[in-house]
Amino acid sequence: MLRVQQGDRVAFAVLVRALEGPGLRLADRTLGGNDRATAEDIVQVALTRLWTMADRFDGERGSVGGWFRRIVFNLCLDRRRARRPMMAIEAAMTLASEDANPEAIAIENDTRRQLDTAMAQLGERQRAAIQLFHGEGLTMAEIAAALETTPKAVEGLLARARMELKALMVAREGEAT
Amino acid sequence: MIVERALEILAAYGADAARWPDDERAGVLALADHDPAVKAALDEVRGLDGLLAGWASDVPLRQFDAAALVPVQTTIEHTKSGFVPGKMRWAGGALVAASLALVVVLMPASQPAMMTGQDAIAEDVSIANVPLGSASDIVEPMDGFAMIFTPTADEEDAV
Repeated sequence: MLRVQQGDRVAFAVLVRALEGPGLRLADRTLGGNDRATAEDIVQVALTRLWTMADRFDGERGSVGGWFRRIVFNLCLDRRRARRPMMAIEAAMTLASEDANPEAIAIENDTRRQLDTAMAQLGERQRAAIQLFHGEGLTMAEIAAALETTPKAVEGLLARARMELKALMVAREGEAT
Repeated sequence: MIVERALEILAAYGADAARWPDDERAGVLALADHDPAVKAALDEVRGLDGLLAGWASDVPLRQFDAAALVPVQTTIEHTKSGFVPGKMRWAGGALVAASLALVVVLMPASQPAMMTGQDAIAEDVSIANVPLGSASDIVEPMDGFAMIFTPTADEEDAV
């Protein structure tokens, strides 16, 4: 990051390669997994800020990765506030499939779809916490830095998210039977 | 370690003991061996862990072009003068301020030459004398100024 602060474009390219994956996963999952274009746009803006605002990075306050995740997450919150819901979740569940064998795929993906539907009903912070903990393997402290909260609050966030998910999935299973 | 705390840890961290807090791991494991509630909770969260890991990671990735992410303006400045991003943010503002000062200094000298038959109107531009909906006499010079000195995004940020 020091080299990026000095205008080293090669170092910036290395940084982009290291952060684009985690950034895209965080943005995509925080947005609910149904707005790929916005997720990519957010990561692009966040990566650009790594360059244009490089002088604002303070290594003593945390890692580059943590700073980048915070930028991505805050951009996600900004976009979510700005946009309107595009489609009710129930409506999405009834869309016609274009797959060759929709019935087999539907059965295979049933649990996953239940999870996606339940995830869509959680808050952005809960989704982000789950993504960072289960997807990126971050510690509570690292997640707390990204979400600008405390490790203890992240623990509660994850516990509530898991509890709500379980309840939502059980309820949906009940509706299906 | 009490049962309630063990259940809290399982609820938040899941079944992977390696992810539990270091100072509480042994206590939770001991309870999982002896307490039926903790053992049952451990079995239950294990199933959800797998689903969540899949959900969190299953995102198609793409590569971003680092060169395209660098704004053109800073690329040119880097190449020519070793510009450090962000460090020269105030330079844009200083440039705008200097331009503004130059215009203020030069304006009184050039105004008489520009005045024609509208001298009387131009000299009396108090708000009371400008009819509503007819602000062209005082707005046009400002528009011209805005066109010439519209700051770039970086300059605006600096200002």
